[in-house]
Amino acid sequence: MTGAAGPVAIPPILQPHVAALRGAAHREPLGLYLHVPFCKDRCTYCSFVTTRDVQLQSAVVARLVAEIRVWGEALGRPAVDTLYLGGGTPSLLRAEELAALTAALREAFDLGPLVEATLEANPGTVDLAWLEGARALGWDRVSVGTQTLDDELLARLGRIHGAAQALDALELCRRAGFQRRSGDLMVGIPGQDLDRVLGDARTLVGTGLEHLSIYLLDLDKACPLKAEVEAGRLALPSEDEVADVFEALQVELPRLGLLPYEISNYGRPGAESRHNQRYWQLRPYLGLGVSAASQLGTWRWTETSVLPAWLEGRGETELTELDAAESLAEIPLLGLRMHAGVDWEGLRAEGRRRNLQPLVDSWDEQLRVFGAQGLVTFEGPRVRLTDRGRLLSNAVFQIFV
Amino acid sequence: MTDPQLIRNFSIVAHIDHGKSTLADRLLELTKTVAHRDMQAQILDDMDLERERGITIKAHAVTCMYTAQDGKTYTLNLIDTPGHVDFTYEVSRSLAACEGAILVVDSTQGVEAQTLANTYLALENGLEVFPVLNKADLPSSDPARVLEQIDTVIGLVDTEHHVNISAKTGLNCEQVLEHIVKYIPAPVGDASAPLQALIFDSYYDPYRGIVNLIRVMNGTVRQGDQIRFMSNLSEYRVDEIGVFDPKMSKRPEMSVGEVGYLVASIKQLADVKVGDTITHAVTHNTKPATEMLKGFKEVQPVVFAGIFPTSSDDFENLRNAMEKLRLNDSSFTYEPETSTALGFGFRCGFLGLLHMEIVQERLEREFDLDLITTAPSVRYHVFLTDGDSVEVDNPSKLPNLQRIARIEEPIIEATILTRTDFVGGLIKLCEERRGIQQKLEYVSSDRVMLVYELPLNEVVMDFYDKLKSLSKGYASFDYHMKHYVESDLVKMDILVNGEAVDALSILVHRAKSVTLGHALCSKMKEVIPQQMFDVAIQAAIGAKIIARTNVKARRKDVTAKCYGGDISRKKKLLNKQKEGKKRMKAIGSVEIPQEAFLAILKVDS
Repeated sequence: MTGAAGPVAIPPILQPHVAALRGAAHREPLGLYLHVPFCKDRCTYCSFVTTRDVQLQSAVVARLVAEIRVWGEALGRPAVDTLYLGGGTPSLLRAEELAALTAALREAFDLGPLVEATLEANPGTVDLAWLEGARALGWDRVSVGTQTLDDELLARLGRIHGAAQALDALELCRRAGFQRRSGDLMVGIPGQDLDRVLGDARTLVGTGLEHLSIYLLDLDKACPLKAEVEAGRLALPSEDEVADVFEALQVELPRLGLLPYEISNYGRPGAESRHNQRYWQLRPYLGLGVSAASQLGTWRWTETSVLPAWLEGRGETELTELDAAESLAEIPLLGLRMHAGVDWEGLRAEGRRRNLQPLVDSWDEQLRVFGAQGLVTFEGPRVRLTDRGRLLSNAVFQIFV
Repeated sequence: MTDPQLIRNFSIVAHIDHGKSTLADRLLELTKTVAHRDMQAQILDDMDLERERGITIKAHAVTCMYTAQDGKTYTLNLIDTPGHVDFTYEVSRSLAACEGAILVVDSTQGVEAQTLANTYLALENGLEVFPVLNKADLPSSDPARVLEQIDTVIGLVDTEHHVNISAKTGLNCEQVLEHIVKYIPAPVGDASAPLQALIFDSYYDPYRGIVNLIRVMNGTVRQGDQIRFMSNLSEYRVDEIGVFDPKMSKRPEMSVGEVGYLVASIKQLADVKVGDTITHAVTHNTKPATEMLKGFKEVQPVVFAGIFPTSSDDFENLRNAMEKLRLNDSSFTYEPETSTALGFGFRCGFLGLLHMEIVQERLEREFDLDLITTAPSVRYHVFLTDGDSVEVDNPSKLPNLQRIARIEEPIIEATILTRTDFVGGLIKLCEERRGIQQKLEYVSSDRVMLVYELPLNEVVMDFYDKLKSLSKGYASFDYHMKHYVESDLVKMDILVNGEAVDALSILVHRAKSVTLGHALCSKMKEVIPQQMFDVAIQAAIGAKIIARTNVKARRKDVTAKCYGGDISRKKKLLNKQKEGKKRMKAIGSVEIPQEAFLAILKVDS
């Protein structure tokens, strides 16, 4: 077993900016994301950084704890209002490991304004005692990776659980005291009977969960499922079928009480994920752990995605500083993902303030064309995507890159 | 000055892959022009494109010194030539500078159509030709059969003095050198007569300006001389003369029979015309020749296409690139053209489809341009009802139907040499392409020569690739223009969302128009990506729609999951999508990719 090998410190590339980062971290409360890179088994569609080597688990936790401390100190114990423990499979953490991480967070950061603390759970890894423990530590929202309620497809996806187990897990979470529960559904799995997706959605909403994410299977990165599809052993559903289901869900979920608030997220009013919304609102977040991404002020960085390198503290951190134009462009690029859209008049004013009037004018011109095509709509000072526009949103977003 | 008796100027005539460049390599090695350790395969093919495609596009000249068995040291000038039908003009340029040629034939294959054509060309130019049968090291080599073919189909070549060699192993290559000295005549000329030097090639060198490749016929040229280009009387001072050995090596003077380069700080690209004669200007000790050299037949382009910059900002760059390329490739013509669909570009003339491809590739590579090429067309003679006639090489410029009395199209005579087992398929192909058989002859027991009259507009549409695939590569093809005949041709327009796209119009035979219209529409459907709205593609003759298809609107282009860690990657993906779009041309609001403009070449008709 490896100990926490290398020294934990602010990556050299960030050190010159620590003062500025600290300033940014105190302008408003942060979101904090922790990445737990363990899985019992790798899903066939997954391209995230995960490992099955549980031997590394205590070293990873030790290093995460150390990172939490170092960053808390460097940023001057800033306020944090949302926590998100993602992965990987955070529910694989032992109870005492979760307790250690939580304690470190409380110590290094000011969790006074905390309004949401989410952890992700795999239905194949949870038990009541563990969930109760997590709840007692202050975690109040759980996101359960349900994916589909079709056992054959779950097996095809390499999931370690069946549909019944997923429903059981949601029930266990409720019994453990998690009022805030989210599930997810994947559309476009090879062999998926697309009519059944609507049935799955109804079943999941029927368990009383407050939030549902709808993902489209995306095989743009290398993964076993992609290889199967490319070899012709599995066929993806047609674009038309997938679009039909995505559109049907846009109608059905609101009928069931879950309103869309982002391209792939639905929730009961007030149950939107506060943490995830910050990504689209360009509000600051600090991500810790292998491959975790952060944004503070005009800086955005990602820790190494090579686990051994991360463990030994010798991985490369990728840093970019967003210039005035790029950060302005990200406001609509990410903001339009949300149903509320973007305050376009506000953006125009911000453009003038940054001396970027011509850039905003060119966006405006192109958005009007998309408006004529029925992809976006201008309502008062705001602009937002239409239902059809959401399905074709990449075409709209292209104007902002 | 070298005694002309000790100079031999020669070319190598061969079909692609028959070993011309490898033999040239061996000759350079044997004469120690290039040390073995510096040898890189196919040293003469120094254009990247040539090495990649394994063909020679441009003529090259290299000077070697060879001490023959008679004890004398000879200067051998090898003037390399291309083997493809499109580059016949380059061959004739090279041949004009030579007294002899080596006919290289692969003894495992046999005589091919281009070998035939180029050998005739050499014989017509009065060159001495002897055969070299290559690949003698291979078990399937059959020199006797190949010699029989040479006798049957060419007849005039001195097969008695042939050499069986292996250019690959070097077998008998020394004997080729001896044959060059023995059977190729020494140049004849008068060193004291007024200067006459033939420009047989030229190219642009970023450091030296225009480099002329010359062959001195009469007189002597020295560094510092004041010279004159006889076709336009422009005059320059000679900065440097020399030979390629194979690097550029300066010489103080060049005289009768010598081959090399001449650099003269020429600024005006237009002043240099390949085929022109260089003579002296009038000075206190020089006077110009009174007559120009015969030069060589100027070739006329037979295939025409529009070349447009993908981005309209590149128009001036494209013009500059064309000017430079044209200097090196006088057979290629261009004039400005405006297309409603593609904006400003050029209508270009080429010697054939390969030439067109190569020009486009050279423009893109050597000048870093993104280009759109339209479907190739031939030059039609259009006779009008008022008795006038016009030449039309751009279908979109065809006069109004009411004004046309009749249209004549160019017909070629094509020679195809192939193995007997492929004859059936090739005859079928020629018939489909409106061909008329002129001859079918067995040149040896397993080899057939087909001669067809074919409309050139059928040949420019992917005929060559079809021929190659039908014959698994065992057919060679050569052609020459024969005449124009009246034909029932119609203009087929392609409409995208109801708008005719001028750059997509083609002239087709009426009998084939409907089939072709359907095939073209479905090919367009394959290459045009889905857009935000349905795109209707129609083929029309006049006002009549003869085929139609629809590219259905795109319904899904969405990144469903986008959280903190995904943002950078998603931006990269969006950027990639956007770059892909930039390479397309917007016709109205429809984005059309480059390959759509050449879709006609890819249809099965």
